[in-house]
Amino acid sequence: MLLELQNVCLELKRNHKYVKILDEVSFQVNQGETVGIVGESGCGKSMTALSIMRLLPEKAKLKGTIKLEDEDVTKFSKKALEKVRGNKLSMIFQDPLTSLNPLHTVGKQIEETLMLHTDLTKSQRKQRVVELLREVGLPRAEELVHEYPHQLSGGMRQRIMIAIAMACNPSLLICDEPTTALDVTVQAQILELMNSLKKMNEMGIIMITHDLGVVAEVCDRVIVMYAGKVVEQAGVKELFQNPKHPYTKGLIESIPKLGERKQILGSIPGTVPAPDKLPSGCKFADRCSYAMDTCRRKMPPMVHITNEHSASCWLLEEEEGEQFVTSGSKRIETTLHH
Amino acid sequence: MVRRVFLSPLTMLGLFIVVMIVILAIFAPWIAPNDPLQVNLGQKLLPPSSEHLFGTDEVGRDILSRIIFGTRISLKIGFLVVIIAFPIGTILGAIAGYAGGAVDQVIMRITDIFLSFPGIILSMSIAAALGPSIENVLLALAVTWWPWYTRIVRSSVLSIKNSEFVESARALGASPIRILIKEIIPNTIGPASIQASLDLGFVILSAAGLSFIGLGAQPPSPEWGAMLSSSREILRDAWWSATFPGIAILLTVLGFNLLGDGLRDLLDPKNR
Repeated sequence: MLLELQNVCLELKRNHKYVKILDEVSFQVNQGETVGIVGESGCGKSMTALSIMRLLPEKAKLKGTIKLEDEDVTKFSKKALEKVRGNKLSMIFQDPLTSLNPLHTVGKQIEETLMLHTDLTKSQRKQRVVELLREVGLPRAEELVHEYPHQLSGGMRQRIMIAIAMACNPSLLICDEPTTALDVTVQAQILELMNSLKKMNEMGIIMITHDLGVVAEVCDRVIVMYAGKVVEQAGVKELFQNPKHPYTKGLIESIPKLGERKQILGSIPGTVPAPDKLPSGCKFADRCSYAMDTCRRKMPPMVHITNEHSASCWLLEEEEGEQFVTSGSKRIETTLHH
Repeated sequence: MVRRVFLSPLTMLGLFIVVMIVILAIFAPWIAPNDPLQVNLGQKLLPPSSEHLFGTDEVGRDILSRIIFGTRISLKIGFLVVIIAFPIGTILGAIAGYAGGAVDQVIMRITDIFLSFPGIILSMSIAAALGPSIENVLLALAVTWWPWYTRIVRSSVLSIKNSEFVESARALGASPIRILIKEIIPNTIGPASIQASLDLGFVILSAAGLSFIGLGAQPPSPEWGAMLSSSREILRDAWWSATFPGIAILLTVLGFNLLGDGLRDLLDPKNR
């Protein structure tokens, strides 16, 4: 087990009071596995990543355990965190345009990580930087070292970010929407690069995204989050073929498909509720077309459908999901017509 | 980017004036026709002529030579004040902006106290308390000037500290001090150094002002403000004794301001 989150709760201070951002989030990441975290904006997926990195705002309350190779990250001191970040645990941010310091050369910025975490000499570091640039598929690495971020394209800059993150061979790489700011062809190249790097280094990847296309491309397992809770998790194939939670279904319905021109693209009505105005029962109840009385009163438990597949919905508890699964997509469409 | 400085004629003029003043200051003993302190009562209050281009003062000293040697004093005060105030202000501003909370409050309230006084009055009182001399003027001006840098640097640190490259540096395991020194401060130097180049002119002007009211350089020192001061009583009979030091101050301040404006246009990210 590379990473294990157990009942992670996070509270942040908003307008002088604490609001719950993450609610009992639990999942695991194995070595050599890519786990996707999907959900709408504000569902807590980025906060989950920042909790693992412990890059939270100062007054954040974090509970539960986050075990990275059997060490609890939540109990780490500042010094220990600095040692683990960028070393065992690396992160790539969404926007490669702003994630690089405009005043330093590319080479210097990659070297910085090596300087922080390794004992390599100056010439060894220089050599490693060139190696890294080659590994992430950048041409003319020797010249690139001396160039500034503004001289490079978005795709190249994201490759540089990956090179920085990979500098110390991390065991876990967290990617927060790494391809959102890039155009589609570059997106595919970056995803491919990450797949090959994963195979080469045997690391685990957490891929945070709202793009199910990206999930299908690179992930082995998927965690669907809604309003700070994990609502469903399954293997990637299983999730796309046999989604159990109405929210997951809604997400899949809302992907436009090539060669198919539907009158109405499936969509989920409403938006994610604000974290300080969450309903008491199932958080999704107000937007769910299957919502029953129970849903509004009580939080549904996590139901294990198979070993790999679990979801949190009252429908699964009561009917074992049979009827619901077959009629599911049709019912979403009919409700949308109203 | 470099070409644009040369395209702006005003910046060029500023640069020209500043370079000329610096050359005059460095080579003063060779350029000046006379000894600036040489009293010659037989030649007092001579109007400008081919022998004394700017005339002579009330004890017969050559005004041109005095003005040329005066550049040394003015530049020394200007540069030293900025060299003292700039790093103090920058470091305090960076700490205030980056640490936030109570540290920020304490530093910024102290800064506010300094800024709530008119600068010239504060430097006057400090210079008066310490006793009149060039060194004390220097100290007094440095004390009144650092808060401006603190302000500027703090506000740019605030905008930079939440940028993604700072976040990524944290994600890479850099310590707060390392982030401050390597990521944040280099990005704040631009705006602060523009302020510094503009300040050079104002510091020289303030130093001349303090000398004028007798708190700075003392006679017979060829300081421009002191020269203006001693020419007050003879102004009616000898216009040259006040006019030329006045023009020297004007040109110096103008030169530094034009250069500072040009630098601002050059370093302003919006103009890139």
